[in-house]
Amino acid sequence: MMMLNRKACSGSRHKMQFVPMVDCVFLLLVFFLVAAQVRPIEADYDTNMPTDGPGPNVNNEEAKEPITVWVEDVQGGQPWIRLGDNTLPSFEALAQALTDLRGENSLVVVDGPPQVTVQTIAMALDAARKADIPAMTVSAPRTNTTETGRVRLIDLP
Amino acid sequence: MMLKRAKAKKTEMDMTPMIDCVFLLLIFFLVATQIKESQARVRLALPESTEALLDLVKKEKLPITINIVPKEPGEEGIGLKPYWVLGVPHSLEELRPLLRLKAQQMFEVNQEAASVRIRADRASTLRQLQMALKACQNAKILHVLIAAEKVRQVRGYR
Repeated sequence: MMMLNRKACSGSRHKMQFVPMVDCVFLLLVFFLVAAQVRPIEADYDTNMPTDGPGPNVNNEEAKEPITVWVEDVQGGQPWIRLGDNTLPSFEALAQALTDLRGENSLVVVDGPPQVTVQTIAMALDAARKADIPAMTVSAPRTNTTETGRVRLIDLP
Repeated sequence: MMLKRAKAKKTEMDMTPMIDCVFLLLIFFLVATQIKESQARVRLALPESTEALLDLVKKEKLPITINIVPKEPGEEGIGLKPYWVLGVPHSLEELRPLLRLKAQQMFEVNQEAASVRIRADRASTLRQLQMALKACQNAKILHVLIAAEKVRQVRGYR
């Protein structure tokens, strides 16, 4: 009688080789490690055009209260911020002051000497956004660059 | 007295946790990586902002991007051409007709007014930004976005 070898009938044992799979996974990992770039998140200010020309939304006639903010860079220190007659100590104070002045058709115009940096301008725009001012822009370029600039005087309460 | 030799034990390294870790890393990179169309991007340090808005750029209406690169000491040539569009530096005089042409082309293709996105380095000046905006106005481009880097807190100032 033929003895059935149970072991033989139970099916041959197959061993799965994991090594090629690990190799493929490592290759993919290395690809993504090399190809990936860490980039900062970019956001935008939706600004109006400078107030001496055409622009969307709020133009000179509709803007009842253009509020001019004057900023200047101070080497090694906090930028100099002026709103009307007042010099403000920080951009948080500027945001608070703009909140108090905010109106339905307010337009914040950020102005300064020609060499003030865009970072300082951005912080002034941030203050305007914090104050929920609907429209903001930068001042129009002056033809006379030696001019110190006119500041609209706002009667602060 | 016969000393019995201890049989050397077979040690096996369990690879399963390592494969799990590798898969986790792979899934992270698969999910986190975005394959984007490579544009001629100038490396800039954008101004930091806590209040700038995300997702203002619509994919179906891509704006013309103007990069403003500040002048480096000793780089007089670049200083005269600080406006980079599609990887090419331009002076202000070159930028104006270029913007008019691009605006016209975009209007012919999309039947919509063109928009511009200005990516100005944080060290570039108000004057450069003003002149770029003026050039957009002259080209009848009235919708402008100013790019910034979204951060939780601006470093350097309080």
